[in-house]
Amino acid sequence: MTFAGTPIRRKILSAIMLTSATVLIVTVLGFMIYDTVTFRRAMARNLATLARVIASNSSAALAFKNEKDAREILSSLRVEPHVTSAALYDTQGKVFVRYPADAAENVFSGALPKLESSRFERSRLVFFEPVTQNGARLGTLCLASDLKALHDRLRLYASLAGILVLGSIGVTFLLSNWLQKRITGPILALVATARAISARRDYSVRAPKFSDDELGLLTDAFNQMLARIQEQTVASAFLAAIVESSDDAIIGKDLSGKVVSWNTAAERMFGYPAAEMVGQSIERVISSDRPDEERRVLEQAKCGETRRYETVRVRKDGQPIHLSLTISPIRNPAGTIVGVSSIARDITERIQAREALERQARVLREQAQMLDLANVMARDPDGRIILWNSGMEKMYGWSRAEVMGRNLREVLQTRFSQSPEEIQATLLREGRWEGELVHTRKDGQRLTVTSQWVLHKDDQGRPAAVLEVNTDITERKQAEEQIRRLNAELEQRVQERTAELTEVNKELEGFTYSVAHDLRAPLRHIDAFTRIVSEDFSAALPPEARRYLEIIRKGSQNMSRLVDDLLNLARVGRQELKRQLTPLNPMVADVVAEMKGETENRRIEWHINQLPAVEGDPGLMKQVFANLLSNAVKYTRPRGTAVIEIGQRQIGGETVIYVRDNGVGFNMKYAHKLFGVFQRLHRMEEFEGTGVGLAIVERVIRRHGGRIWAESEENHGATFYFTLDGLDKTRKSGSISKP
Amino acid sequence: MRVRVFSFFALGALGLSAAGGEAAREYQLKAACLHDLAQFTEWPTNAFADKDSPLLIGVLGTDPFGPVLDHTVRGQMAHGRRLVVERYRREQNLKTCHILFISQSEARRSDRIVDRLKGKPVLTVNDGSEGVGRGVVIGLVTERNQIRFKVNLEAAKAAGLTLSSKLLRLAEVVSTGKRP
Repeated sequence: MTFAGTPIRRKILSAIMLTSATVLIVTVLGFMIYDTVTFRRAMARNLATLARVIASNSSAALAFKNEKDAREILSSLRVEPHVTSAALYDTQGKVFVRYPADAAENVFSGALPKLESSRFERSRLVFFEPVTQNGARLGTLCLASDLKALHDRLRLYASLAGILVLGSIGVTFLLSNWLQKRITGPILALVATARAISARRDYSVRAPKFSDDELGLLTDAFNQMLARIQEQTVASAFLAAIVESSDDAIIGKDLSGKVVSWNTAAERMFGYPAAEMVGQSIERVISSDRPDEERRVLEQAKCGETRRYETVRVRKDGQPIHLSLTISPIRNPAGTIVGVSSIARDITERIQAREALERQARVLREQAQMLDLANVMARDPDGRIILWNSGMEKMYGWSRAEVMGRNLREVLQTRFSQSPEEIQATLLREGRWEGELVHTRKDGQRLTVTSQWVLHKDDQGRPAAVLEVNTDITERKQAEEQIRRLNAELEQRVQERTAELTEVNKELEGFTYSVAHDLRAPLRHIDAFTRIVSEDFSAALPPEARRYLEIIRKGSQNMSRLVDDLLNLARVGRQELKRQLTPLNPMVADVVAEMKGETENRRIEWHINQLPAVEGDPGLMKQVFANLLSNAVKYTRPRGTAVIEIGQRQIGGETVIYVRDNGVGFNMKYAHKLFGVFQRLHRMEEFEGTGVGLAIVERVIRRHGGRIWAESEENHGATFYFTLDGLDKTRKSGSISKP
Repeated sequence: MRVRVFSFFALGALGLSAAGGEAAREYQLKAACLHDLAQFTEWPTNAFADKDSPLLIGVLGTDPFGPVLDHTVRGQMAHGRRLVVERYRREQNLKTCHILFISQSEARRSDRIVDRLKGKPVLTVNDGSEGVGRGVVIGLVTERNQIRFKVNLEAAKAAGLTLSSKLLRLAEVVSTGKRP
């Protein structure tokens, strides 16, 4: 049995046993070698010590040649059984004494070394020690020890190692036999699962998982693979069902043109059952007048191309069939092309329909000849021109022969005023369409045309052709264009004039402002000096003069107020708005409080309702309320109890703020004059004022994007309404008319 | 090196004295003995003037060695000191040395010599055993072609000398006043 065929549990067992046995043997060998070396060293060291003692003791005996004494010293070596022989040499290298006494003369051969040294001979260790006294050399001692101790020790080790190795191998065998079951167990389970699957082809079986190690991963991967196969089995069953139920013939061929698969539709279409075609060449269904077609298509498929074309094939009963064929290469998972799929659709009916269409177009053409006065063309549902009369030839410069069968849009480079899909939808829905198109003549000139399309249907009510009658309106278009240009110029001129006027107006305002500003100083002088004269020289002046001075003072004060108001008005027009969110209730309360001087001796009922917060310039908004409330206070003076109401209401879906009083009111006939500068509806003697206050109010409101108006009836009070931009986000412009 | 030089001269001396027969061989051994005694004896440190001072071997009376002693000690060292041989014809000429070899011609006067050297660290060596009982430290005796020692330990102690136990192992110990 080869190792490759051995079961995995045997392999693992052998691997573990071999490894551990090798390690053990190498270790034991290494230890034995180490021990031998150290033991030999220890032996040499022991012998050296012995040699040194003997040499030291025998120095005098050697020096004074006392043989008896020397022999006695050497004989003390008897206690050391391993020392087999010894000898003392004098300085001339001659043997002086030997041990044992009967030892051979040449028990130590070779030259005597000068220094202490040792050497291992075949079966003994020989040691040389110089004999000295006080540094003077007196001779040499040689000692030899047998290696029996070493050999005994080695033998002991070898037998111990043998027992150890055998015992260890036994234990290892039992241990690894037990351990390898934990590895081979899951593997064997996996193998059992795999066997069960290949035997029963049941891919729903799953291998049990024992652990989370690599084997666990392997089991998981195996189970996932099974799941994938299961899915694919189902998927291919689906695919097969689809192929079988398709109305198109689906045929698989190998690269030599031999049929590999042949679905039900193919059986129906060609009249051959699958059993007759599979394994046969496809040439059977190819008509004999197209001998090279199949070979050419195969070549193209081999290059990876997918081709679609129309052709004719022959049924088993000999009838020709028109087919639309789609030929695509089939690749294996590695991407190599291994075959070809043909999907064939029977288009015999379509071909017949097309032929019928052509016949109809001929009829249409003949009819259109009679309508030569108009510019008429017709196209089939695919956009190919099938009719082109002489009017068209004249209008576009293309002759009939040039355009027949070509796509209309391409020939005329049609540009649509709405999307072609919409036009098509209208045409299908209503049967006709009218509109403007831009076409290009053969000479490149652009034409604007009005186009009328009529959908022509065949006997079954399917779209068969579109009849198109076009009229050139290029000149009319150009005239219209001219008018539009003139209008635009006019508009431009009006805008320029408006800008000029605005500029002049601004200058005028600036001028007014500076004049008014400059008038203030002289006015103050007039007022001041008139007062000084009337106060200081009052006694000296006749009553007539005093009255005149008083009139001058009144006049100059009036003028001063007027100038201030005018400056205010100008400022309102000029100053930049600082918009911020301002709640109106506190502001109104402020204004009422500030009017204390005017209201001191009056009975006034204030009705101040909840007011919104507005996005506006707080200073200017306060001016608005100051002026309106001051007006209300002023014009209610004749009333015993003045009633002034401030609030908001909805008028026509718009939030409007109002100030109502029960004062003298005004005649609505003059309402249009109310907000003009210096416009006063009452005599100065009745109600003082400059006629600027409401003008300021109107201007502030206008600058905030709002409107102001008033309603009144003489002697029945007045109400001032105003709106502000952003007061009501849902306000609709124009939904409310100015009263 | 030292050993080889010594061996060479020892061999040379051996060769020279071969014609001298038994007596020449005896003095060769005794010369070597004198050299070796220097190795086995310890002197007190005050016995030497300084560390480079040589170890002096004096020969008193008629010199039995001839050139053998000079050859034997030439180039030799003991206790790191050179060995130098001096000769004194008579007791009166005696100077302080470290080993004094008293030849047989002066053996009768050993009492006086011992007196003269009393308390000095001098290893007195008598040619023969007579002087040892009278205060000489070592006596060299020839027995069956071998040199034997007789040692007077009291004399050695009185002189402040220490003799190696290994030497004593080979020697016969004798006390002052006893006839050996």
